[in-house]
Amino acid sequence: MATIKNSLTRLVRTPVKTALFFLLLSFTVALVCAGGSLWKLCGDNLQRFEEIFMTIGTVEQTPERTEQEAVWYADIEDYRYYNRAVYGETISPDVLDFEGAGYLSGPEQRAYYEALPLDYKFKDREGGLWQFMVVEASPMEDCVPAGPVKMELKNVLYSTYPPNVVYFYLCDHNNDSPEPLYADKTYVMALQDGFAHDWSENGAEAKFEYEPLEGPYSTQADAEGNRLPTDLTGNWIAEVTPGFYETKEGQEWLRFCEECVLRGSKHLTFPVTATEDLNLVMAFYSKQAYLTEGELLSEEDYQQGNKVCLISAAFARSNGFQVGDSLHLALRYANYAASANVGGGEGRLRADGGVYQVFEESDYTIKGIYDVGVGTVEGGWGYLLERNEVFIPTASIKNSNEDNIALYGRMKGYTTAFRIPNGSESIENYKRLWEAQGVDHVEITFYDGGYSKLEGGLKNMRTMSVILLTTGIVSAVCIVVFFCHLFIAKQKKQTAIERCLGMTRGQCARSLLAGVMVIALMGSAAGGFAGQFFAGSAAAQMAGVETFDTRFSNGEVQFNMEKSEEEMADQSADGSGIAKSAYLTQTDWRMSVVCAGLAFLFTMGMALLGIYQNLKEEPLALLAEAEK
Amino acid sequence: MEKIIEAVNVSYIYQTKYQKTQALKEVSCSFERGKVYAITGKSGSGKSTFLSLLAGLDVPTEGTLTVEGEDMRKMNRDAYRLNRASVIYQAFHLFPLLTVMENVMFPMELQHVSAKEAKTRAREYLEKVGLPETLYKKRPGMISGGEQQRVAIARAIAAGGEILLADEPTGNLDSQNEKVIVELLCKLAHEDNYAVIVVTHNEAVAAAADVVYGMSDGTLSSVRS
Repeated sequence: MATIKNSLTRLVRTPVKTALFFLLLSFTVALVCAGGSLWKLCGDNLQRFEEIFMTIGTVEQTPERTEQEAVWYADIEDYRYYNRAVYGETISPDVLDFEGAGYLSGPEQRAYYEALPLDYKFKDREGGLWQFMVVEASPMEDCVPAGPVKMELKNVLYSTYPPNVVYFYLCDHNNDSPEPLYADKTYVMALQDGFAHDWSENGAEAKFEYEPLEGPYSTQADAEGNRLPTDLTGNWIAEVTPGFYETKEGQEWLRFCEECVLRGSKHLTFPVTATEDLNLVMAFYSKQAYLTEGELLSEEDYQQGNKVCLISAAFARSNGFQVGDSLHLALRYANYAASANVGGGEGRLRADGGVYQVFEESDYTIKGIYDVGVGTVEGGWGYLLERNEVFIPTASIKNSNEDNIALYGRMKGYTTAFRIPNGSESIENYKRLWEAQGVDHVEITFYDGGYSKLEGGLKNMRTMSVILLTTGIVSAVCIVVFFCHLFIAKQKKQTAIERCLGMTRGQCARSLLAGVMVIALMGSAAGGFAGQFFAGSAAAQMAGVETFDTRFSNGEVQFNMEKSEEEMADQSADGSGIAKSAYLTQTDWRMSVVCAGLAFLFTMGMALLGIYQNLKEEPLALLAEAEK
Repeated sequence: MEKIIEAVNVSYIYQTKYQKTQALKEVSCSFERGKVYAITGKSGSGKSTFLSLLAGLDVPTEGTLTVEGEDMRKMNRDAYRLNRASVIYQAFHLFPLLTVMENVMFPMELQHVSAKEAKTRAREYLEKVGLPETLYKKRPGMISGGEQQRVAIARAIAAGGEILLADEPTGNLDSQNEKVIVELLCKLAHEDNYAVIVVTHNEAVAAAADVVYGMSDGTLSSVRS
């Protein structure tokens, strides 16, 4: 104790040296701790954002040119002109398969499948007032339906709603040269409710009219996407003669009606979208669609093709479905050209004139229920989800759909996507490789939720922290070595005297070590606190400066699902500021403890080394050296 | 008088990385309590080395050095220096950051004497060497060379040993202080029964000694009683 007391007394009596050592050590330890803490924080943030964010690319075949298209409008009895995009040959998504692309999932050109409605309810569907019907009707007089002509309804072959009319007005609105209709003849036609194109002239007296929509035709494609040849007549209006339904054209109209009944018209569609990764569906990627119950489809589900599905909250409500319930899916045909929300475009009949039959039928377990938030999804309505849309893993469809492709089309942003690793480097690498493929008229748009910017900021911060850390370590080493030299090596004379007075090597070591230990302990502790404080301030500033539009990141859904209403109120309208919430700003105090501890141990190690050098000699030699 | 230290054929070689230097060659002599011994010789004659061996700062390369019959090689030399033999140096070798009082108390604290007891005894020793109380709280750098040497003597006797070794104790002092220190050393030998061994080439100091050993080239060349 006496030796330690004297050592401390000496320390107190050299206040400048002691204070200088303390301050310099504190400063360098603070640098090391701040650097270490920030480095770890940046690493943690990068890892966190790596988990939160994801980068997807959507693929769209672009037009080769545009051309003017003239569309006839019966109400103005003239053409209106539109610029129409003209696309070249449909480009296969196979062009996306190239060396080094590094896909995490996809690329996929998703199909949505029409499933038999069975007895499922869709009562809260949107657009339910739209009327579509296949009818037999006769004009009241010979006419050309270039404007509203009065028709008598003879027979309803199919209708979404009972028409409850005997007479109606027909106008082949967009046909600049409609065929004449004769009062003594009956015609079959598929009509949709149109608009009173004389509304501006007659107001409430205007003639509410129907217009022909389509006829029996086919857009069926083979597995390669090539349109199959067909000999369907495709007439929109056909004369019903005696024995008409025994004729080829009549049979086509009967199949047409049969198909209408099967699918319950477009409004009773029950779309099932098959995907390899829900994140490739923009509504899920952007978190406009989010899970309300159960779980999302897992990697294992995609890989194993598990018979699990995700259903919409609207569909679940209509049918009282809960997570874990079974959903029977009977898939009839695939549409590769549109998203389920856009839908349609496909002919109602097979190329051979038949009706599409179920090719895949099985029970799926409802794994999760999703809902759709308010807001828009970048890209337009094609990216929105259909109200009753069901999602299943692509691999869960065991039978080939090659004979049931009702429509194949070009890649669109809402049908074709892939996922690659996060980071600007990854995106740039992909772009470079893609450029090298030399594929024209395909546009790839990347979405990373601001990760690249975030990553850049974090990497800058990490570089700064490494500089801090390195500077701190180098300074700490220099200062510790210098002060150990001052406090120990330069104290050879004192050690020699102590040894001459009978102090043992151990006592001398304790005497020398005590002072260094006290300063090192205080310096490390003070530096540790200062470093932690500095790192915390820097991290808070970093988070304050870096705000990102994270609408396209997982951050938002976590934010939405985990935050209270008050916290939600802090969210700015455009979605920015969410990253700030996702930012880890709490520096890990353990890192500071470790850095400060290492600085302390290093100091003690250097001190022990110096002490060993001092004490290894006999007092005589030590004294001689000290006197020299 | 009984012998307290006896050297028999003591040789010592300084060995550095690059060379070996024989500092002592077969030195044989003995020392008794109650006497003042002077070891004289030119610089480099080996007298300081011999004194250091007597102080237990190292052991002879050859020969034996015994303290009351116990071989220096086998004994705890740290304890020997702490409790039995104290050294006074020409350069005083006081702790510059400790006060006069603390310097004197230092060996007693190593011997686990209580602080209070050590302070009382330190005061006695300082009075004994004739240092005024006004200097007790001063640091060595603030007092004169003669006063520092008196502090060094007080510290040496504070350990309560029986052998007092002094290496040119008056080398840095004026004649007046030199006389005081020599008288003090003689008094410690003759009145307090210390074996006082002084290395010096000062004739006056040598003249005050009871026995004078002359050294030359590491050997004992003459003895005068």
